[in-house]
Amino acid sequence: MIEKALCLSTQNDDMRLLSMKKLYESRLNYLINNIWRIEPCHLSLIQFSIDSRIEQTIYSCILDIGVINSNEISTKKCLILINKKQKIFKDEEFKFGIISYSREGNPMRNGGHKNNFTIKIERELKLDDENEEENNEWNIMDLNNGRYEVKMKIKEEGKYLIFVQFNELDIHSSPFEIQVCSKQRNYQEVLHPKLIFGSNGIKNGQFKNPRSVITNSKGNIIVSDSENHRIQVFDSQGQFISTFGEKGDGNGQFYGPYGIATNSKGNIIVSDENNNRIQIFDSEGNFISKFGSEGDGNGQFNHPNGITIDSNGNILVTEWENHRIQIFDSEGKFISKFGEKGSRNGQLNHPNGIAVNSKGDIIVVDQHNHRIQIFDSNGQFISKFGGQGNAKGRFHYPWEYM
Amino acid sequence: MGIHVDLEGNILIADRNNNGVQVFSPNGEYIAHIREATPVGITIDPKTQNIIVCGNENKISIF
Repeated sequence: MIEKALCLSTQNDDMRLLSMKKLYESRLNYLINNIWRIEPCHLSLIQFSIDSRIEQTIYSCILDIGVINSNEISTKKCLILINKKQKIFKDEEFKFGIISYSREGNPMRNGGHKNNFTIKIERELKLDDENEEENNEWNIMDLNNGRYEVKMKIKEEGKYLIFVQFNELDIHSSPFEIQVCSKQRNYQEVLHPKLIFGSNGIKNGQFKNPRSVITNSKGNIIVSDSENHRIQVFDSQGQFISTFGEKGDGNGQFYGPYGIATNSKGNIIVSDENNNRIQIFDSEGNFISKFGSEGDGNGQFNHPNGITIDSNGNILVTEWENHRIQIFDSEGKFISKFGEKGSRNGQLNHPNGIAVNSKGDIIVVDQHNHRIQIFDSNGQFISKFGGQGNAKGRFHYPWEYM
Repeated sequence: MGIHVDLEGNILIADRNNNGVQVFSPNGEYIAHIREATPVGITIDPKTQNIIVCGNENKISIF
């Protein structure tokens, strides 16, 4: 209206201006005196709608603007990043990551806490004669983005627990377990023995039908000298160290010792085949205990031969004439059994060798079925291989019981 | 037949009448044959990786 008035005034038309004066005056008075309602109208017809896709974009834009964060790492929220499939070899560097998180649970974007982290390396089964300190190396690198990289080198093979600590407290998922292996031999390149020792006879260092050979934690070689009814111990170079046992059925005596195994304590466990029992000795060959008697009940034996120890320290035994596997705890208390005579999957015909792999699977030499059978740790059949013959991967005639 | 499982799960079988040690993968695939007369017992020392075999010849062979 004011614009209109100004417009009229510029036209310099006095008569018209005067005639309009009254109208403008009344209009202006109305505008001045009127009380304006400035609250919004409430009409049900008015509504706001938004495209949900755009709404999400708006929210995510807002989130991306930044986060409220502290510079304080939460011990409980930090994560370990490791490739579980990687093979870890002794004396060879391997690495894993640490992702640091704040108290608010957000990943940290900056570094600077390298010196607050410590790594502790513990061997799972510590042997008495080993030094406390293994001098394994580790160092941590700050990647300056909230992540850290740890490089480690372990000197001996075995199972280890790795503790990752922040200000002396374990972070989430610490400790974790690793298995350190020796570099695997290439079996196709194994041709000639580098050392041979022993001959037929009854003197120290001589044998009559040795059945089993194992090594202990010192690397000594332990042999069941079956028809001399004794166990002989040699150093890794084949030098005679000691012998224990003689023919008989008293404690510490043998009648055809067959399988031997050592447990984590260093005890030597022997299947005393023709005495139908298992005997346990300390690492020096002193008799500790025995279990089993002739028969086919639980805990009884009919020619026990192959023997091995699983990761729990349980004792697993094959029986030539009972065609089964029995499992005992480390003291010799019966736990379970599986197998029966036959040639179907899971059945056995004169088993005489047993081993457990790192998964806990039980691998059995099923001698008269000319095959190897693999069972899970509960004795459920998994697979088999072999078959009779002298081709590669097959087994020649069963070797008769002597 | 003597048996030993190495740290990677490979299975070594001392097969007396085949005059050798047969090596299989963890799944039982044939890998290698190590010639040795009448082997009965077998082990591998985990530290040295030496393969140690005893048998009817009344001797111990270290590979």
